Amino acid sequence: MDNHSQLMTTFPLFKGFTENGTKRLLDAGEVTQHAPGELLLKEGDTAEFVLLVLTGKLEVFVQRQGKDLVLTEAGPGAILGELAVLCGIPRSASVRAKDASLTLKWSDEAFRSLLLRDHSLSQRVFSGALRTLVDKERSLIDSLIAAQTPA
Amino acid sequence: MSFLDNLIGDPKYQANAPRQPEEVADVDIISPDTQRDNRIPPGQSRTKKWPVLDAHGTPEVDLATWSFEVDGLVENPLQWSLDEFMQLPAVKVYADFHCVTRWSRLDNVWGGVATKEIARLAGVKPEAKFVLALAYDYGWTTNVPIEYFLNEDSLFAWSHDGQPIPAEHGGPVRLIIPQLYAWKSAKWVKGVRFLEHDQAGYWEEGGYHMRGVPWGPGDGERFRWS
Repeated sequence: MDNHSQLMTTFPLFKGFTENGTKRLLDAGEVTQHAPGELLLKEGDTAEFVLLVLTGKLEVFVQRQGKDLVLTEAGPGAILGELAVLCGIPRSASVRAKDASLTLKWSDEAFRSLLLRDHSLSQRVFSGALRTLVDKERSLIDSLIAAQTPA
Repeated sequence: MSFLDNLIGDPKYQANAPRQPEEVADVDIISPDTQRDNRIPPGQSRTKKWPVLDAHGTPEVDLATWSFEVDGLVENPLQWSLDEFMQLPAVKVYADFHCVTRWSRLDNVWGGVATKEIARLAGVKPEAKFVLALAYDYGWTTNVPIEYFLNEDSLFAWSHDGQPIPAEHGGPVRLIIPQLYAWKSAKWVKGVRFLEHDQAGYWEEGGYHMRGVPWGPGDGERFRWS
């Protein structure tokens, strides 16, 4: 096995984890390799899993009026798709591999079970998810203001 | 079933305000934290129930083959069956119980054998500075500094408020260390290992605190990331 468990201990989300601790997270999911351009999540799909980026770079985007609008990029240590799983709603955006990437994929059941049992991890994941939402709202407000400001 | 029936049906529900330590009769040891003016540590709330938390669910523990082992840095490694273990000198401890998930259950009487007694029987070597408690649920462990393990109010308990400890709460025997967060009070305990160097247990491998004092700094020694 590759040293994914060692790598995961370097992610801020898992600060304080030992390799045995991150190995348990690995064992609860599945590591998958992605070629550049591969679609990992599709906007509107039912949310059945959560992704943790291990290596590489992913692109989060939506399609509007036939065009791709890239919202953000996600690198090692980022969790993707957790909001749709936690809220039980369809995917709010699509995700594709920008570079060759590796992800750890937890089924929605495995992810919920990890959070239910581990009070510390759930606190960190919820806090991260809420921060993402707050940041999105802030950037939305900035865009609205920019759109309303006369050139 | 109504809400009230539900509570009445719960034998561990605490309908009354917690007793003060001086009101408690027939115990040998009063946990010092019960004598604080405010018994609820920072960031905690009192629960009148006894929530059930664990890493893997309640394991099947066969009482006929149950055994308790003491190893590591000791002069006499020891092993007991359940019958033998429950013949060890018993103490009753009055203590509060603080879970890292932010609930505190006050006013508990634990019965069992003092951890000090186990350490005395095993002849713990002076170089032992930490204890790893081992449990029956799939290799679950937790680490405790030896001074907390040897606190006057720490024990291996087989009774709670005069009754055997229910399986979902860690029976037949669980460790109780009232002065640390409750995950250090290993449920379904099957032994202890005395160590020179600290070794992370199950939750500690996931970033939980190596010591876990509920009374601070801040709102307690919960995690190694906060």
